[in-house]
Amino acid sequence: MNIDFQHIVNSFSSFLFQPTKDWSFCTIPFMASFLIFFAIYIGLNKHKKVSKQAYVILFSLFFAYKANGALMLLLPLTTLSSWFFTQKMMRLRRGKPRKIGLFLVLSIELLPLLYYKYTNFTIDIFNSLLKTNFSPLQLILPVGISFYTFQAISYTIDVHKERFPKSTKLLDFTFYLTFFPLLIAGPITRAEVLIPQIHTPQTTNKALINKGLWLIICGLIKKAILADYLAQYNNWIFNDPLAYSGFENLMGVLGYTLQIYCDFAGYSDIAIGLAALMGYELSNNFSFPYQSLNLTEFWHRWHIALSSWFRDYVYIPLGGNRKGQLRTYINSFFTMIIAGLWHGASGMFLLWGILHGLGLIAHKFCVNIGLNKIPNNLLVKSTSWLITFSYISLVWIFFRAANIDTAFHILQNIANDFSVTDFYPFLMARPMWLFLLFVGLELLAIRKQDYEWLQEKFISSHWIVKFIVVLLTIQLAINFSQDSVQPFIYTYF
Amino acid sequence: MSEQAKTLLLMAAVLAAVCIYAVIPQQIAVGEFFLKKMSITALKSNTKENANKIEQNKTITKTQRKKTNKIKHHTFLFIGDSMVEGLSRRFGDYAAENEHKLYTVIWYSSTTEKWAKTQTIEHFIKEYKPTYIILCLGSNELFINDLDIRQTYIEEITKKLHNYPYVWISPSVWNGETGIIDLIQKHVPKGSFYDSRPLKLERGADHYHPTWEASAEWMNKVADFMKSNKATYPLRLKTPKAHHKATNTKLLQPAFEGYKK
Repeated sequence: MNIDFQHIVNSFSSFLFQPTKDWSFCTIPFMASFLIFFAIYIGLNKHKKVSKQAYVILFSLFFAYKANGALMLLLPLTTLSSWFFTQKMMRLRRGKPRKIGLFLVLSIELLPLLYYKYTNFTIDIFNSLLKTNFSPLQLILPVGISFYTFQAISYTIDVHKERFPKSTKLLDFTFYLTFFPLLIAGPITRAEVLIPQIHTPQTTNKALINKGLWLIICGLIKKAILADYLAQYNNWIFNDPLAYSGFENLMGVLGYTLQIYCDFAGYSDIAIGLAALMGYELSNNFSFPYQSLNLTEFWHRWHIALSSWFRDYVYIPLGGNRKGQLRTYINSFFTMIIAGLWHGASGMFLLWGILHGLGLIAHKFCVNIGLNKIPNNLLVKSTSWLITFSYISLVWIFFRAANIDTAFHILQNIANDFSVTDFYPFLMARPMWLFLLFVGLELLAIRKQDYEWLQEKFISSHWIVKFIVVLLTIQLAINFSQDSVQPFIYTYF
Repeated sequence: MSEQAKTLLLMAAVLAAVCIYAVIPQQIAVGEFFLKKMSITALKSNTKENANKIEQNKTITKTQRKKTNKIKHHTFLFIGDSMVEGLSRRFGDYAAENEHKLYTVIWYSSTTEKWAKTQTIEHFIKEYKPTYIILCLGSNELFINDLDIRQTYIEEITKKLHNYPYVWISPSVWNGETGIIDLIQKHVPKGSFYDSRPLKLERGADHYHPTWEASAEWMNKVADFMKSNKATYPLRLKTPKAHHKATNTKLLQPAFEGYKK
């Protein structure tokens, strides 16, 4: 057999040095790289902790380079500046000098995010308000910048508030901020969760490692099977809603409601699962959010890492619910506006934030006038769920639609052109899509204890069973895969 | 063995199984349900042999080019999938206006696999004796992920067409694709490939096929390409002033299994 070593070397060096826009957990190149990384990682278990830590950091930087190219330099820069200036800040006298220091450090940390994400948005606003004609800059948003910036900010604030020790070493902080499972789309993890584990990963914790494998399977089912398949049809609807009937538009909205959950929860599951395989235990990012009976509960269950970040670093510092009802409403509203803009610099995300803010105010107002005194029976629960789910789905329209006209076209179509008789032709035309939609909705309705029972069963199952389950999941993902690889929605944020 | 090592071995075994399945020629089926193969095209780059083979297929002799130019009245064979319906309707106008003869064969739901594995192209070449072939194929393969297998089908089709002046019109995408168009482009000579991707065509009621008007616009663009110097076999094609009813159209249903030897 003729082996072309030159060709192999060329292919390998091109893989190492070429960034790729498709780099994500669901690609074969990543999976293969991870397996090689993981094999060496296990081999380093017996070596010095520092070498293992440095090894993980190096792989994380490689991961960042593959996703971002040269823009990955922002990551070590943010890491160094955040650690260095936080140390400097803590050397300042308590009180006003340290507060000024905090303001300056946060400004430094926020600067790249503001520049890359909000410059063109600001120029647009400026142009429309002052009728000027400044042209937008050619900027590429570095992948994951919103996530690692928020981690850096949380570290600085926690150290400032002395909730977390200032003595963190640079190597530990670098590990924390560059840790590759969290790099592209979180979950935003607090320093107090990850940094204490860095030196003591639970590499022999069988339950944790098997839970990691379970989460990776769940993530692949959600992302590669459900979200990616549903996405195709949803894209048609959101690209050209007027070309479809009211029923088809409604299906597109329901499909997107499921897609965004499966996409992001799938990503989070894989990220938490990969960390668990390495022996690091991270918190859940989703807790059956579509089972929520009101909007406040939804935000306790959806993207928990981000919502608790906003709660701790925006809502509570604004006064939270400690300054009267009106201030509570204003604080909730303002926090949701910031949350909307965090997702992207566009009027549609702002509107999405406003609608969620209004929804939260409405719920808090109803609670204040006695909503929670209504008997908590099945009818009330069902009605609450229906109202909450419908409102969340409706608001997703504004999140996904490219502009306000598209969003209103979808709503108008559903309101004016809806007919149940369209169900049968739809079923005939897209049976698999409909099947996956119902499977997805059914999975969302699974009880927490049933899910945990399933997880336990998997963890305690024989290795052959695990092999078959993983193989089946991967094969199903291949069978259902449509476009090469659909990027994770949250990597855009 | 540690739990981490066991997990690593399990994941490696799964990945190995998927990769081995991707490279073996057999495809496993459970009843009518086929287990698809992972696409490994993205993982491998062309070997030198492969590249040479592609180049050979792409080489066009000057004699062939001149010969095509000299022919005043061509006999066109327009073949492909359902997209041909709209395109040939317009090309019929061009053919009539320029005194060419047009034979159209529309094989509904057909794929590169069907045209490559059967003798259908050979059959119609024998029957109609074309001097120029137009092919529009690939629309039913926009979302496939077994690109490495499709590559062999595309190679087979280009071999069948190699001795004729031809243009392969790429599908016009409406919702992305997995790479079939790049694959066709890779195997077809530059001047014989029309890339329809930049076109934004209005779609009909089924949301896939362009409307008659959009198909006509599409064909106009292809015709512009066919008469330009970008084409390997440039033609004289005057823009039609009137609509001419298309004749000589053969319709093959999806269930048709193709002509065999």
